[in-house]
Amino acid sequence: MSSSASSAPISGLAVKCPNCGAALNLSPDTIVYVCRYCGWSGFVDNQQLNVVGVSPQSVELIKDKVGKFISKQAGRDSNITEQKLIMAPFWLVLTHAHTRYNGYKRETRSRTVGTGKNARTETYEVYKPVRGVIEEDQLVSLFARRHERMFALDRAEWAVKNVKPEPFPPDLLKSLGKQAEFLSSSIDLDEANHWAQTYVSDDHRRRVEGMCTKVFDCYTDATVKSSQLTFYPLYYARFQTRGRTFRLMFDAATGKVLEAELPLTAARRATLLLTGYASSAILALVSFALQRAQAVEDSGTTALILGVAAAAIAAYTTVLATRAQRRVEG
Amino acid sequence: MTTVYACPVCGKEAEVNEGEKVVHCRYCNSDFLTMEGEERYVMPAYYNSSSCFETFMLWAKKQGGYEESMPLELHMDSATLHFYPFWVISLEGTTIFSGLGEDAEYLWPDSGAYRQIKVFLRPEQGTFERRFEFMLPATKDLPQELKGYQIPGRARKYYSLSLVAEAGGKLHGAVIDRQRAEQWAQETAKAEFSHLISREVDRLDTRKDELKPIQSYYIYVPIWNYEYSFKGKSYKAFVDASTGRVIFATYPPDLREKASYFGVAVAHIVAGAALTAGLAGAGPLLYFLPFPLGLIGAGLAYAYRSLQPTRGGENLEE
Repeated sequence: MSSSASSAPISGLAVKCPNCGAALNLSPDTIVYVCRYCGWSGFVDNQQLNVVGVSPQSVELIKDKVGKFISKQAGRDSNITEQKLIMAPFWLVLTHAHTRYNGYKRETRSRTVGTGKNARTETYEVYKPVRGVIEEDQLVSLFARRHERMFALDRAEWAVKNVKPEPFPPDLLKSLGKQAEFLSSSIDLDEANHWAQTYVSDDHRRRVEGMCTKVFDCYTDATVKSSQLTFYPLYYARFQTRGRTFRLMFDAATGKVLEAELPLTAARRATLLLTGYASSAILALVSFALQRAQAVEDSGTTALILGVAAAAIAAYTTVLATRAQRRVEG
Repeated sequence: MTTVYACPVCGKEAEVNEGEKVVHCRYCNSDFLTMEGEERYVMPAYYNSSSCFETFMLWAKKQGGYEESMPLELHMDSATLHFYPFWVISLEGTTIFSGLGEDAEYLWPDSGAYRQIKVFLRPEQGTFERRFEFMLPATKDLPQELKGYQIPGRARKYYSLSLVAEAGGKLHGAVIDRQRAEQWAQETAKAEFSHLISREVDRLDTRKDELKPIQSYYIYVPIWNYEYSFKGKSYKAFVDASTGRVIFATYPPDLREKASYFGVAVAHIVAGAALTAGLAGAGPLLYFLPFPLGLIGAGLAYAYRSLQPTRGGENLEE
């Protein structure tokens, strides 16, 4: 059985990991390196720095934005208990996938039978063959840490796809190393490529299932065009508002919130509840007006439909108003 | 030098000499493994008992139905740090299969579709390539609530006893060795392949699986287990000592708050029903029906709120 402990012959740069003390054998172009034993990443002094990633806005600026965001959304009496800039590794894999699919979609159609007074509507089912090919390039973003998750990770993976990573200049990398927690990648190129292929196959399958009532065949052939390990800046904070704790993840490249948990203020709760009552009242007035004006054929059914809508809206706003916290996505 | 392990079967402690790989528990007569000599990792316990419990309290306070007097009347029954072992296993594999798969013939055209479908079987073959990653508890005494545990994105370290001892943690022995863990992973991967194949063919004739392990490692994860009581009832909380995340917890319900939500719910529903009945007898006013139905909708939402259980945890992914 293979294990990562089996040491490779020394052929690159031998470094001792300052975190766990393991002897590492790094390739010469490694800068912010990845200790494959403990996951620690760091600088190799006096080496050409060649890490690719997206640089964050200045930490002071982000800190300021986070502070403003929290005091605006959660109230001035909030205080941050933990905050850090994380340089998180993602594999950006450009794949080309070819999917051949075959299935059918069942639909219900209606027709009128009979004439005059005997006319009635009848429904029947039809089948549409759904066959074809999906052929496209797809950019897949994968968090490069084995079996690990973190807050707002899905949003972060999405954010990484929309940027153009660039090589980090050495000076920036050096200063970043002091300000940020560099997470190393624990997934290598080959593994990332395979994961991306699996991801694309599953994604295409889901899309085909969405098009069909029944899928007979769905085969995907995915190849990798290019892959790039990219470090992306994320700013994580935990804060307290009136004795309650919330989490927040900022995109440190754009300075915008990715996802945040926020307290519900009394004003927001009241607004939500009022919206519920008001929409019920408005729908009631609409129903009444429609009947008065005899604008619809069956006012009774219309009133019932509007009533169900009113109940759904009121239930939804009430659920939102009585939640423990709210969630914002950027 | 000796290390104290908790027996994964009975939970009693056993002193183990360095280099001992199989330990016989003298309390329950079972054998367990230390995995010494394996490549072992540990997530350091960055958070101590009081800071983890504080995190839990702050989290509980945020939840619906939290009892405000909890911090004052709470009694801590036990707070223990457990280092539970897990296997993390990645595999890659291919399956090649052939059999009979479904296809269809369509009859009786009806503007772009068909009224009739005849499904038949035809020979079909295919290949699937997949990567798998599994996490398997290596111990049997992992609390049920921790079954879905995921490793947070944080640097792990090489195992050293001092990382466990300094945090005051209890190291758990294992009952599943590498071979069994990898075998389990292979079987699970094969089952996953079976699922993929079953979507394509109805009758399987031949199948060839090839599975290759990529990496497997053994890791101890530190978790604070709290048992506390409040007004005579006991509750529990599990907090990740490496991140301070509340994995799972139960907490006392605020009965007054629950009762008031329930009261509001009943009031809305009764008012809505009464108003509906009143409108029914009031001729054209009946068409104001959406308003009382809206009240009933809001009432149901309040009822849902009042019946919410006081248990849960912080989701890592959300």
